[in-house]
Amino acid sequence: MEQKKAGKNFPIRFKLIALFICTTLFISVINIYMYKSLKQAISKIDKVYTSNEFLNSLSGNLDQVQKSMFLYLDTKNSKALKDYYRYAEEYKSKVGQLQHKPTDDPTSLLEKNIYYMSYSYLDMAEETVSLKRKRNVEKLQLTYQESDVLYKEISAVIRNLNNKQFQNNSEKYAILRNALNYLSFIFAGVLVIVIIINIFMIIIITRSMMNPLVILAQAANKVAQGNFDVLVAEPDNRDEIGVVSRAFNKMIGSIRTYIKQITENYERESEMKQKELLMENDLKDAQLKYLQAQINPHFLFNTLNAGAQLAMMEGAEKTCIFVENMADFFRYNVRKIDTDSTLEEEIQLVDNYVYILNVRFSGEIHFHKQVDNKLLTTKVPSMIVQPIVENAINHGIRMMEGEGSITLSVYQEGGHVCISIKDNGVGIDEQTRKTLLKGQGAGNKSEQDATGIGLDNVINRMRRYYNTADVIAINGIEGKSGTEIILFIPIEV
Amino acid sequence: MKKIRKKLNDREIVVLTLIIVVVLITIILVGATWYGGKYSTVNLSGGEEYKEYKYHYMLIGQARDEEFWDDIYKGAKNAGIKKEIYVEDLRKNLEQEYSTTDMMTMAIAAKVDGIIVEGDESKELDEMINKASEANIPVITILEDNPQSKRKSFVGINDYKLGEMYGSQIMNLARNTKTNVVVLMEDAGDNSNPNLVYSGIKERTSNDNITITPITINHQDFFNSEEIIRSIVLGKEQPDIIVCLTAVDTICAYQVVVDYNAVGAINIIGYYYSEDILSAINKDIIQSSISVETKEIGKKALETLFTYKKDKHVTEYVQVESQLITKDNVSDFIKSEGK
Repeated sequence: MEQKKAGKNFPIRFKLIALFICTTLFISVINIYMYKSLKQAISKIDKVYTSNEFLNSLSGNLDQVQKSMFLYLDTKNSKALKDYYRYAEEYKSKVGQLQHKPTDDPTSLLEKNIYYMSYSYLDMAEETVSLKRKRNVEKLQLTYQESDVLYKEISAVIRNLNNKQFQNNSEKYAILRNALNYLSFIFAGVLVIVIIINIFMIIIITRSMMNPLVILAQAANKVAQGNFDVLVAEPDNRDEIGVVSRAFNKMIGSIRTYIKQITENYERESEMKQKELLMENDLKDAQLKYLQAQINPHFLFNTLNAGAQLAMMEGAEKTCIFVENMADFFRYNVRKIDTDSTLEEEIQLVDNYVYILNVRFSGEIHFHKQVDNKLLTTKVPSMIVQPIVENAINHGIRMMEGEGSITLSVYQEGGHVCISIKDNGVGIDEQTRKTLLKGQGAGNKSEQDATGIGLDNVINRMRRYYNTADVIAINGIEGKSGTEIILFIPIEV
Repeated sequence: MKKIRKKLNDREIVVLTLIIVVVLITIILVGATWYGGKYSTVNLSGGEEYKEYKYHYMLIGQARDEEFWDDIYKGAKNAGIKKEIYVEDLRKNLEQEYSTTDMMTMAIAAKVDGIIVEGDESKELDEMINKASEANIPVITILEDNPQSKRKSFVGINDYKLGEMYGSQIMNLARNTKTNVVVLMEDAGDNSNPNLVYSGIKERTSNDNITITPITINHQDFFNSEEIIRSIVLGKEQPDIIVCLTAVDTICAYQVVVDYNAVGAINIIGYYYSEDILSAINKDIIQSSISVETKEIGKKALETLFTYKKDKHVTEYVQVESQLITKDNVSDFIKSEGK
């Protein structure tokens, strides 16, 4: 196990080289082994007939001895004598190799016979040669004849043995051939098996080596297609692929974190931008409306001031107050639109507005105030109360018959300063209420009597200003008279 | 993590299978080597697997009757094994036919430790026996003797006694009627020792009613016996009794008598026993046969030779008993032959 773990730390190059060397070695070793075995078998086959070769040479040697001896006896040629001695010596040494113990094996017994017969023959030949030297012709002939007979007999016995051995050897040869065939067949089989195993081994090992790479490639492909939700199973080994896999995983993790951060940032930014844009838009809208109206108020309240002074000089006190109220109303509108104001100022504006309307409509509207004086300094966005009062008059009271009454209450409840505008008008239908609460304009803005700022504008501005949706409540039941709109101003801590 | 663990297991399995395969291959290779090695070694040395002996004796003879000769050889060989003597049947080991004297030269030249030779009373053989003796090789004659030579001993049947046995058989069959007897005798050539068998027969059958005609067959000429016997059987004077002194003649006579429908008319007195002869005796085609204990000849020859080697002295004549086989005791022989 320890070794295996160590093996995982080798670089791929080393692994591949080791794989190739191992497989090559494996096949080579088996090949060498088979080659050696076959060679051994073949050399054994080669040796089968050596005994025959030996006997042939022995027989040839014997012939040479006899012939050279005969030549010497015939001619007394000294070269022939030399030859005779040489051949006799050779023959002696060859014969010496034969086995010469009594045995129960016919061939080895023949060897023994040849051995002793040859020595007898050589002795006899020696004697013959010496007789020739002594010129003992009579005895010479006799011994020569005897040696000749023996020579022929020995030749015959050698031939005999040769035949027998040839027979034996042929059998051996056949068996050896069979064994060789069998061996080559086996070896061919073994070689095929080994090659198959080798291929199998190479496939398995390369696959195990390359599998992480393939997985990595697939993962990389997925990443390239934009899918960052992939994680590669990290291989145990510490080779290059392991390193790359781990790096890949780390990289994917980092990319994912970055993307998440960027997306979050982007989302936040765009949200903020949107908010800003919307606010700006509403403001612009309001501003546009007032700019449109500005020409009139400026001119108007200057003109009205002049009208008020004129009324004062003529002693028309009521007209003077009326005109002054109007002038205040319009001045506030012009001045306060883009700055915050206090609740007191807002209520003052409502007073002005109601006074003007009462003059216009000859005191039809009964306006009541229940204001907690402590709350008068509360800062609020400008122009939020008057549009609601205007709304109440336009949509509530004007439609009704009889005396209309509006009650403005300012009180503290929970964490809010509540500004309640209650009328006894025609009431409000559910549809309109819901639309209003969503911050969408319901009123007809092109109405001639309107100051120009709708309820929706008030609601939206307040929501954005306080960054909460709970800024308004509309109470009223359809079909029944009276509607109450309450604005909630959070108290700043 | 689990996947990796599983993969590891897979790899272990692969390694295990690889190991198994390698082991298998090793087994195959070892097996092949063993098989091949066994084949090669056994067969290369196969011819040389033999038992060594201390002494080497040679059995020399013409052995015209293969079975008869083989029995002698077996007797000698088996007796030799215990004494660490290997007996070689020289003739069997040679491809050509050699005369007895030629074989004697070979034996002498081969410096064997002893020679058992089938004697033939010839001078040439005498000489060879003397030569062997000079070369310190003791010679023992069997079956026939060369009494003039320096042979150490003779192991054989007493021919005269054998002749007497034949004679009494003839007398048994003749029963004082006029009887023509043909005796098939070995052609002993010029060196003929007066035939002792014939003398023995003559001695026993000295009766006017019995005419004995000796006919010699030269066994050196092959296939001669059958022709001669045929001509005897088909001749003008058909013999009443044919006496055969060799196994070959016995079988030939038996075959001719059967072939020419002379069973009953011609009686055969045979020599030796073989399956054929025994069954013929059983069927009354051959009246009787004289058996020599052939294995005993070989055995006694070897023992005599061995004794001589040991003691340098031995009796000159060792007699081997002969036995008469008739229908009465043929079953015993069939049994022992069966063994």
